[in-house]
Amino acid sequence: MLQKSRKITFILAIISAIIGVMLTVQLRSSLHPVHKESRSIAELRTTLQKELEKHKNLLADISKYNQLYYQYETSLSEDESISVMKEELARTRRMAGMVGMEGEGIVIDVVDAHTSEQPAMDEHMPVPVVGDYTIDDEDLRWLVNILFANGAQAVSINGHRLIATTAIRNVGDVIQIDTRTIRAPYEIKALGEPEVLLSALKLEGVEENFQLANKKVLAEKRDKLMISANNETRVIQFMKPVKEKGDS
Amino acid sequence: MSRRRKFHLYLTIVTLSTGFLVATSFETNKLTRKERMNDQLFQQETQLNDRILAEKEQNRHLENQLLDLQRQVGKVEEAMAERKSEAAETLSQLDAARMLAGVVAVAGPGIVITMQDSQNAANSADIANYIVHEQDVRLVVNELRAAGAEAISINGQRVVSNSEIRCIGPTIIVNGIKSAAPFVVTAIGNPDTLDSALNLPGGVLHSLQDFVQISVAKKERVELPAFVGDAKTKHS
Repeated sequence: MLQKSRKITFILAIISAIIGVMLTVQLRSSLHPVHKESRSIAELRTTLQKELEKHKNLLADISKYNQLYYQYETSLSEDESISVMKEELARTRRMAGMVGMEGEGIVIDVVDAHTSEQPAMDEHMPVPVVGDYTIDDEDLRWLVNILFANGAQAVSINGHRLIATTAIRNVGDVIQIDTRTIRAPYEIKALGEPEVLLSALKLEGVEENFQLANKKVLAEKRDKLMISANNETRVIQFMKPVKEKGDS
Repeated sequence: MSRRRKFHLYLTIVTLSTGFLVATSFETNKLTRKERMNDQLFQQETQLNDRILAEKEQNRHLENQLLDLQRQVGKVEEAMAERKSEAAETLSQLDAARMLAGVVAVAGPGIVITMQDSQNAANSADIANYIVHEQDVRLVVNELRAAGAEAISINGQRVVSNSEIRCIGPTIIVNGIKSAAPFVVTAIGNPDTLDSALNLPGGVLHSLQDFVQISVAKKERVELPAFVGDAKTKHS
């Protein structure tokens, strides 16, 4: 009898201890969910890095304008300050793509995979459709986007320089760059670091993608590459420079 | 019998509390350790946050400084233009070139397009169809350009002649600057022309709005920031 009741007591003690532990753990974990803070640290670091980069860029821009201001102020004659202004104009026009540029870069030829190499076909011939796909506007936009993402300074397609307002779109069966029609074979020139651009093309699988359209992509490095100016004349109608800060 | 019952009851209470005590002390111990680690992370995080805030503040100052400087330069240039017609001619060209190059902030009538992943993307069989891709943003930008947009910015980044538009996960990268959804494309141009170009039957809006959230708002005045960092780009 005594033996049995001891056993029961013993079992009871163990069970209640276990229940106690379980209850506590349950309460603890439901009352204080553990926050994870570490995920955002990497994100914060990139944000900081970007801000630092912006800082550097701003400083560079400021020093550039400071220099310009200084040049204006110290020019002795009006002719001299006008020539300073003209220099600034030339620099800005280069940035806007209104002036031809020269430097190292790559040339990408997109040619039909089947036809033997006759790049200079009759310009007025319609594009023969080979295979199931053709190169469309998004293919070209995708390609130039890869180039820009990898540091290309200037890009032209079949001699048409791309600027901030250049549209590449399908119009009927052909591709138009702004208002000009371009036809295959496409020749894309890009100024930038040749190795970086070439490896970017490989990495993104440009060749494979264009192969689906039965096109061969021939890319090669050039030490000296000339990219012509964008000679579309634009009349600015709507935008005006913001002169005052917070002027809205 | 009744004594034994009582004894059992006491025993139960005592062991229950012992269990509580053991578990509590163990948990607290573990928690403090975790808290300490969290504290370290937290400190690191606050430090980073502080630095980012300070940096942002500083950048805002620098931006203002740059604007001031641009205004000063502008004044000098205008003064020159008033004195000499040759300077006036050069200046008008310079203003146009600056706006086209994107190195000055511009304002004008235009349009604001907001793109976002579809709300029920997670429920659909083909998720990829219902999220905004970089080609969708490029498509919109391209259509705006074709419709005569004079200047475009995406999430506060001015699109210039060598800007890229890339998506990585739910973020978009323009001019090397990452930002999160929603993607806001702002363009200056004739609002009606831009709007109708997007709304063409079978056009961009029609092909996209079945899949993603996209809204277009015509605005009498939008302001686009200048592209920062032109001095660093090397132009040969």
